[in-house]
Order: sequence, then C-alpha cells, then structure tokens
Amino acid sequence: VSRPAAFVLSGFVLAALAAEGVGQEPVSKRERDWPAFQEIVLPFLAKHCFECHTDKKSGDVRLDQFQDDPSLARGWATLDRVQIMLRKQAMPPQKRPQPGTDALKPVLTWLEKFSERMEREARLDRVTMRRLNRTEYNNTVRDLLGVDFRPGDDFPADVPAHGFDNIGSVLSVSPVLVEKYLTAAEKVARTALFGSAATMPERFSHQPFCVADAFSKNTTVKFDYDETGMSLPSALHVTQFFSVAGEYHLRAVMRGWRPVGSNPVELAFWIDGKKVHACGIAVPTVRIEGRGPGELNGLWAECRLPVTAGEHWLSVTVERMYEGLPAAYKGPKPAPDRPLPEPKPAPERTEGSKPAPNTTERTIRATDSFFPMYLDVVGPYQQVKGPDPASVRKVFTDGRERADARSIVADLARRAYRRPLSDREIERLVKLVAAVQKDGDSFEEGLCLAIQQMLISPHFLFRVEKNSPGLLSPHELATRLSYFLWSSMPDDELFRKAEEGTLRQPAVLEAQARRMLKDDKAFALVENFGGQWLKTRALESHIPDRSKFGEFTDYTRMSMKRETELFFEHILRDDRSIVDFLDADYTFLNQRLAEFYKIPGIKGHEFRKVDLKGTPYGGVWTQASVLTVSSYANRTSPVLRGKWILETLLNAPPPPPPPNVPTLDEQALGKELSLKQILDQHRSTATCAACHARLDPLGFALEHFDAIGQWREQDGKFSIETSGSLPDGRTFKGHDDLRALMKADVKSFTEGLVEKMLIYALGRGLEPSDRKSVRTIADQVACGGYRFSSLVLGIVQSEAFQRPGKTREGD
Amino acid sequence: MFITRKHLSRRTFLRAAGASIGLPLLDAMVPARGWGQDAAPVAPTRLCYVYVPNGMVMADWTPAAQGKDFQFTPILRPLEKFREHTLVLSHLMCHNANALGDGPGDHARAAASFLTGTHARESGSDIFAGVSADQVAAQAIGSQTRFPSLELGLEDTRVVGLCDGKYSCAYTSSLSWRAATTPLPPLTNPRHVFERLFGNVDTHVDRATALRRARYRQSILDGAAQEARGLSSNLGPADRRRIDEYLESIREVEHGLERMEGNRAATDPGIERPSGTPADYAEHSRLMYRLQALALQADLTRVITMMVGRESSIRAYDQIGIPDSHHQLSHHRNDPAALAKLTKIQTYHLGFFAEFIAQLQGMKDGDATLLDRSMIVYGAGISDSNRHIHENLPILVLGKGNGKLKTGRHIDYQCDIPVTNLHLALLDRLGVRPEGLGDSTGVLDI
Repeated sequence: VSRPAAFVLSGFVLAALAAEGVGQEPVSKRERDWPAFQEIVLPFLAKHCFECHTDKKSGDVRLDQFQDDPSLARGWATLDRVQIMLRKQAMPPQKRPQPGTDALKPVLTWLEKFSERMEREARLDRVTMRRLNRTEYNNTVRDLLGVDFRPGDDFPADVPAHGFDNIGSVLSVSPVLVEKYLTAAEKVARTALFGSAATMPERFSHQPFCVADAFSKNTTVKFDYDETGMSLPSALHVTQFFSVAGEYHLRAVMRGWRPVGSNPVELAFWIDGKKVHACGIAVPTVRIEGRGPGELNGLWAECRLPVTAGEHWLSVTVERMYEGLPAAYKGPKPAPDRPLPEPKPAPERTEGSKPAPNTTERTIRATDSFFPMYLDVVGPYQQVKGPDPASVRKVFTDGRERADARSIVADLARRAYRRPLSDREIERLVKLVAAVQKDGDSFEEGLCLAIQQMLISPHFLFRVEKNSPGLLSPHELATRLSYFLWSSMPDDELFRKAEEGTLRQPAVLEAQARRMLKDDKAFALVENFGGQWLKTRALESHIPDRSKFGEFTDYTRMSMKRETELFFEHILRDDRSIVDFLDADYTFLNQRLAEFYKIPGIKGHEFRKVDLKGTPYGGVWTQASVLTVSSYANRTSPVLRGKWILETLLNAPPPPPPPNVPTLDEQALGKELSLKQILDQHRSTATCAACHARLDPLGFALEHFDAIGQWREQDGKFSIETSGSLPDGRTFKGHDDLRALMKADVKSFTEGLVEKMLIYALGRGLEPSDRKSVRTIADQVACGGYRFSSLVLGIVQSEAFQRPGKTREGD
Repeated sequence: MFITRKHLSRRTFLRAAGASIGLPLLDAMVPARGWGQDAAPVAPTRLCYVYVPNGMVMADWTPAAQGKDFQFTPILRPLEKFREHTLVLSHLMCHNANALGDGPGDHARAAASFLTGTHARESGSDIFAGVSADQVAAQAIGSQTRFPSLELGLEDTRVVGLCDGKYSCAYTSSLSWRAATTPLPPLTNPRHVFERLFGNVDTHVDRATALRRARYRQSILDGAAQEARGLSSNLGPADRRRIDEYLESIREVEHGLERMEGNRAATDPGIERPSGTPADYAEHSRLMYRLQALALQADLTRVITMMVGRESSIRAYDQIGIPDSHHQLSHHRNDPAALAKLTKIQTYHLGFFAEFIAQLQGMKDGDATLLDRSMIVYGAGISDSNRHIHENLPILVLGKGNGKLKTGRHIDYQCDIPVTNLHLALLDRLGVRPEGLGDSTGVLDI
C-alpha cells in the first residue's frame, strides 16, 4: 500500500526548494540516475538480494522500492547502506552464492558515486531551526536574567528523536506551549525585576514509598556502621523543588520502637548532604498519650530553616543509631543505667477493648526498628523580598545609567536574541517601555514588558540560523557552542569573541571550548548528553519489582545516578581517556553503593573515588545505573543488555525486531527452564537467530549482575553461564573477557561515541554524508590519545558543526 | 520524586485567588452559559475520547448478545449502572495501524491512527500522521469556548529514544494531532491542567492593573507574531513550517485571551489547586477525570482527549498486586494467568472511567445531565495485544449526545468498519461534517 502522505510532503518540499532556487542542479541530474541504475545495479540486486530484501522479513532493508529517479533520491540512505554492506562483504550472507569481484566492482563504483553526489546536494539543506527545549529554556533564563525557578518544568515534555531531546525536526510548537511561554515570560520578567511574587505558605508532604524493611527484629548492635545514618535503611531521602527562597518549616514524624532506657534518639536534618539541624527525641519510659513505653510512633522533630530557590535534596536521618542503648545491649557508648518507673499494673479489660500489652519495661526490643516516616515541608515564611542581586546585575549591567531604557534594552535583547539587533528592532522594544510609562506605570514596569516581549520572541525561543550557504556567523557559532556544552546561551566572553570576529580562528575556538569545559555549566553535558547517551535518565522512572529487590530504595536510586554522573564528570573535568567508559579501575561510591557492590571500607554518605581493582566492576557498563535500566522490573534481560552494548558501546545498533515475534515464555522462566535455555530456544527460530546471535551472548556475559546490578552466583536455582562468542568468531568467557574484546575494538566505540555526540551537538540525525566527518573526528580523537577534550574539539572544529548544516527532509 | 502534598484549605485558596473567584456556577445562572456568547438556543454537546494502551482481553470485554439485552462482561462491569447510557460497538478497526509493508511499531501506529485514520510515517524525526477527529471538532466548534480542546494524559511522556520500532515517541504519547506534522502533547500534571483551566495569574492585583496587563499580553503576542512573519521570509521550508506552527499557536492563544476578556465572571473550580502529579496512580487518575468533568461543566471546552497511558506503556500496577510491566504482560501468549492480570488492569482502568461517568451524570446541565449532553468514546487501537490485532477493537460510547445517540445497546457490525466512520458519526452530531477523515468510508450507522 502506498503512503500518499509521504509523497505529498516530498512534493511540497521539492516545490519549496525549487521555489527558493536552492535546488537548481539536482532535478536535471537526478533524471540521469535511473537508466544507469536499471542497467548496472538493479540486475545485481535482483540476483543477490531480492530473495530476502523484498519484504520485511529481513530487518528493514527493502530493495525493491526503486522505480524511478525520485525513488532513488528518497532511498539514498538505503542504497548507501547497501554499498557499505557490499564493501565489507557482510552481504550476501556467507551461506548464499557470492558475487565475484568482477560483478561487484561496477555496482560499487556506481553506488559510491551516487552517494557522493547526493551528499553534495544534501549540503544545501540545513538543520531544522531548533526551539529551546525545557532544559535549555531553564538554563537560558537563568543565565540571561539570573532567574532560577525552572519555569520550563511546566512546559509539555519535549519529544526525543535519535535518542536525544534536542532534535530540531521534532521540537514542535503547540498552543499549550505558547500559553506556557506567555505565562512564563511574565513570571520570569517580574521575578527578575521585582523578586518572586508573594507566595502563600504551602505544605508538601513527603512519604517515600521505599522505606526499607520497616520493622526489623534485629536485637544486636553494630560497631562499624555509618554513624551519620545517611546510608542506613532508616534514612529518609527526598528531593523537593523550592520555587521561592525563604524560611521553611521542616517536620519529621517518627515510626517504630526504641528500647526503653535508651538515650534520646538523635535526629538530623540535612539539605544537599549538609547537616543543618540536629535534635533529640526522648524515648518514652511510660505509657503516655496512648503511646506505650519505647514507642516512637507519631513523635516528631522540627526545625525552621532558610532555603534557597531551586531543587534540594532533603534527608532526615537517625545519627549514631547503635549508641546510647541500654547497657544490656552491649553497644558502643551505652546509655547510663537510669532507674525506670515501676511498671503500672495493666488496666482492667473492658468490653470491646484490646487487652493492654503487659510489657515489662525492660523487654529486649529491636535496636534499629524505627525511622522518620514522613517529612512535611511548609513555607515559605519570611519570603525573601525584592529582586535577587544576581538578577539586578544581569538586567542593569554595571556602570549603566539605571534609567537609560535604550542601552538596557539593547544589551538585554542582544543577549536574549544571541546576536546584535537592528535599530528598528531595538526601537520597537524601547517603545514598549515608553508605552507603559505613558499608562502611568514605572520605568521598571515598562522594562518588564520589554523583557516579556523578548522572552516570547521567536528570536529567543528558536535558535535561528540564517539560511545562507557557507559558514555560520560568529554569533551563530557561539550559540551552537554554548548550547552544545552548556545547554544554555553564550556568556559575555563568548559573545565578545563573536563580536570581535575571532571565534572562528581554530586557536580561539579551542581555547573557548576548553574554558567552557572547565566551567560548572559544563555539567549540562554530563546530565543531558550523558544521561541520554547512557540512557540512565530512565532510572528516574524505573521501578524494580520491590518484592524481589528490597535493596532498591530511593536513596539507592539517587546514589546510582550520582555514581554515573560523577564518573562521566571526572572523565570530562580531568580530561581522561574516553576508553575509561569501557574500562576503568576506579569509580565513585558512597557507603550505600559500596555495600551494594560489596566493596569494604567505604564509610559515610559522601561520594569518593574508589579503586576497583580485584572487583568485577570497571567501566560504565558495569555500573548499577546502566545494569538497572537495561533490565526488566523483575529480571535481567540479556537481550536488552546486549542491545544496550551494541548501541552504546559497539556502534552496531541491531534492527528492531520484526512484527509479531513470539515473546518469551515468562511462565516457565525460572521454574522449568533457565533464561539461557529459553533464549536458546528463541534463537532456534531462523528469523530470530540473525539478530539474537549478536544480542544475547553480550547480555549473557553480564548475567552475574542481577536486575539492579548486584553480583550474584546463581540465577534462582540455575547456574550462570557467561561464555559466548561474537558473530565474528571471537569468544569470551565472561564480562572480563568481553571488556578486553571491546577495548580491542576501540575504533568502533570511538566512532559510535562521536556519532552520538555529533547528533547531540547538531540537533539532527546523521546522514550518510556525515560518515566522513565522523571518521575524521574519530581519527582526531585517536591522535589526541582518546582524551575527552579531543572528542569535543573534534566535533566543534568539524565542518558539520561550523556550517549551517546538511539535513534532508524525510529520512 | 514522590510528593504527596496536603492540599491547602479551600478557604486559603479562595483568599489567595482574591476577587476573581466567584460563586459556584449554579444551575440558576444558566442564562449566562455560553460564556459571553449570545445565549445559545441549544445546550452544547461535548465530545471526549479516552484511550487505553496495550489492547484489551476481548474475551472479557465483548458482550455475547447484541441489542438491548447484552450482558456486562467482567471488564465492562463497572459501567453496569450506566447501561442506559452505554453503547458497545464491535468490529470497528484501525486498518492503518497495521504494518502495511513498514517495520514493527504496532503500538505507535495504533495510537497515531486511532483518531486520525492515517498510516503514520515510520520515522524518528520526521513525523507525519494526520489531523485527528478531536481537532476537526476543535477547529469547527472550538472558537465557542475558552479552550478549543484539551489534551490530557496519565503518564509522563519524558522518555528516552525511539518509543516503538523506528517510530518517534510523538506517536505513542499523543492521540491528538493538530496537523499532520503537529502532535499535541498531553498535559499529565494535574496542577498544570488546573492552572490552565482556572488561571493562575493576576490574582494578586487590582482590576485595573489586571486589565492593563491583559492588554499588554495581547500587544506582545502581536509583536511576537510580527517578528515571526518577518523571520519566515528568510527561512527554508522546514523552518517555515515551524514558524507557521508558532504563528497559528499565537493566534489561538490570542483568541482564548479575548474570550477570557469578554467574560470576567470567573468560576469556582470546586476543588483545590493540585500540588503536582500524585505518586498514587488512583489519585492521579481520579484527579484528571475530575478536572475533565469540571472543564466540561463550566463549558471551558467541549473537546477533550485523554490517554490513560502512553501506547506500549510499561507501567506496573503494584497497587492491585501486578508488579509486571503492562506492555510485557500484554504479550500474554494466551496464558490464563497473564490474561487474568490484564483483565484486572483493564477493569481497574474502567473503574476510574465509571467514576467519571457517574460524576457527569451527577452534574446538572440545564434540564438534563452533563452525561446526557456528552459523547464519550472509550477504547483502544489494539484489540488482542499478544499479536497486535487492529481489527474488532474494543470501543464504547457513553452519553446521549444531546439526544442524538441511541445508547443502551451492543452493536456488532460483523465485518470490520474503519473506526473513523464512528468519528464521523459523532462529529456529525456536533454539526461538523468534514468530507472524510483518514481512511473513513462513510458515516457509521449507530
């Protein structure tokens, strides 16, 4: 069945191109392709390829789609793939008759020439104008106006494409979004000029759903444990976004029991890992207010603290959990032996009431069976009034006459539009200020409106690049650079280099890129590129089956995410080799993760660099974050893990499965058959074998890591078999061998990483025509000792990055 | 994170909202309905679509008998109270959700074709489907209300990478398409929906200032449109399309603002401002249905779509004892245990829908109930999820369509008819008669 919609669109695009005079040459040239194709290539395809590649049985490559010149132009990418497969002799499959070199040569020559020419033509097209995505919007208003309440979080989600959420062609605009832009512009401008609007105190109640094993029966004590309590199961960890700075009231409510006669429970409040308040909760020794001796249920501790705007990590922990217990527990620093009141006689039982527990006061109770259960945050009180000094500095740049509308507006607009403005453009904005003043409002109110106008302008919301052949303008290049490395607008120095016109000089560009990588804002590359490249963003919404993985608390989740971020950041900041992603004898752990990985000797909640020698871990692919997101909720998936490795590390993404494949027999899994046996069955089907022979063995190499990344010796009652082989015949015994094999194939890894980062930097999918760029950059990376900076510099200095772009409508 | 925030007291909210909050919209105020329009002679009809992901256990869905005396099956049972308002339709199809020569991606195509009747283009970055039925309605009757349409969802659409085969996530997460290249992302955060419906600006300032600011807003929208028009002459085709989208969106927002201006009498939403997306699915679900009911009641919009989950959703329903991923489970291989779990999830979904229907029935709208005035489609673009079947889809219509729908029946069309024919039939009852919709072959006889 044909798809009229697609044809209508390509027709539209061609017409539009022709109308613009952009594509004068292609039409006549394309007309010449079909006869030659028909004579040279088509018979070859018919003989060697049509057996499989005429419907969807074999992946997605369909070779009977060519009937005329337009279809050749449309199927350019497919033909390019054919060329590669033929050249690598990866097709036809070994078992099929092979074409001789003589038959192959003319076909290859024709295909290569065709690809080359299509590539040239494609250069005429450009990257679709990119709208700021949510993250970029947030960062840009932060850097433009010093406003940091993340207004973009209220916008509809951005659709990702090619694995990233900054791809121009899918960042569309809807009325809801424009409505949000309008509201945000007003709120942002008012906050910058007048401070955040008066906010009524509100209450946020946090009840983490994964407080670990609530009531332990453990009556023993520990001497060697995390005394801060941060990494113990009893800790409460949440994140909260504070849109307004001010004082907030925090109250933690307890649950559980503590042995009677213990010292007061020491509760600590933490913000972003720093202790901000500590207090004691006395352990009741007698029944009071319906609460039995030793019972903490409903008791609370509270404090009032100044909190800055932005997202904060709040924790409530029990400090020195095993200290201050009655001497009978033989714990460290026991409580003084204090006399306890005589047990009251149990009250008489009345009809319908439960018998009062006849507890003797010295009953041995569990030592660690209590924890803060809720955290209520109420505020703001004492809201910080007036504009943030940072905002004032951004709006009224130092040394400027405060009431000079024109210079203030011109300077703001230059930064907001990321380019110099014409006088007419400035005039229009200045008129807004005057109009408001004429209505009797203040100068600041006028400025406020002008800023709102800037913030909903297409020049602010979109990264406009002039549709001109040749190189980007210095301002456009500065903008590309800053959104690539910072997910935000250029800073003053970068603007200065653009204005001086020196930015394109390789030495200046390199110095700027290096300077930017050192800036704190480069963490955006870790979060936004790293989080999507490694797919660890999915960790936020991943919920392992709690009945099987009780270890996985919110704190574990946060710690896993942090480990990978720190690891990536370390490679970026210390300019390490990108091979560290495959194999590194270090990582970053806190006590929680160290215990999780069974690495001894790491105390406390702070992350630190940890030596991994002698452990099975090493490289980003054995980090719990990656192992978790490439698993199902209830079990590991060698298929998903194999896919993750092929896509992320080996640059060989498998095709999607054909429609309506049978799925695994989940019911038999783990009962009658092991996962390996079931997948072996799966591979016995011919249609499945082709891909799964590549996918499964890679995943099986990681089977010793369970669905949340913890080491295991057995999978239920089945032993674990990790040896396998790659399609090219190389064999491995387990993940250590696989690591060595991947390191040997560092070229593929590098090219893959270059591709991914280029997609992210350009905001578009790659075309066959980009392959040369990718190879060139990968070579530069190799020459640069695989340093992270050589990767970034290679991209920044590539032609693809410095030219308006070369993307095509359609695939 | 998992924030379940206590709500502010209603009084606090009213105080914070200041003078713009008036009394509840009482039935006695009915002449004012039409929101500043001339009092319409006929009460408006509302059109809603509720979409559920990952297909349906058809054996537990389809009633055996046809006509008026059909039995409520296990999944449908929550709706039994509304027999008189229920229309079960069997053998409608989304033919264009099939591969038709393309690769895997049945979930993406199902959601994309359900309201558009088109065959989605297999692409991660160059999305193309068609205008959806709700948007056909919105474009025709949307100007009569503050919001032409609302698009809602219960699942955050922040996902990584391609969502189904080689299909963009736009296909799996949007039901509603404003144009063939413009999917409308659903709002999933109840607070955002509330603020959109009932406003969150200008509640602290005096009336004169509020009016002045409203005028300023119009003026900067004009300014932005002017800049966009100036820009578009220098752009390539893809960029120009983007700017057109932007311009159209600006026009629609301007229009909505004018409408709000013309009618300052505000409503009491009747609920407190939600603090965000509740961690609890049940609470989230109830809140979103509640907001829909309120929007319909206040006649803020007459067209709503909601996705109960994004197509191929992997949500686990722990709270009803199902820790499995919904999508994984939906490939059930006819295993009775898996089917039982799916039926449980599907019945659970329908339970919240039934509560919504009950609310609509409880809301007076002149001399009838809101349910009588509405046409609410509930269904999916996949029937058997194990093999991704797009024929004999599970489809319900609730409500009497202002007396224009004969409900209380089960109709089995025997041979599959495009579900777009149903859309045309409902649009017809709104007085909207496009020439066709996607693969429609005519107006369904119901």
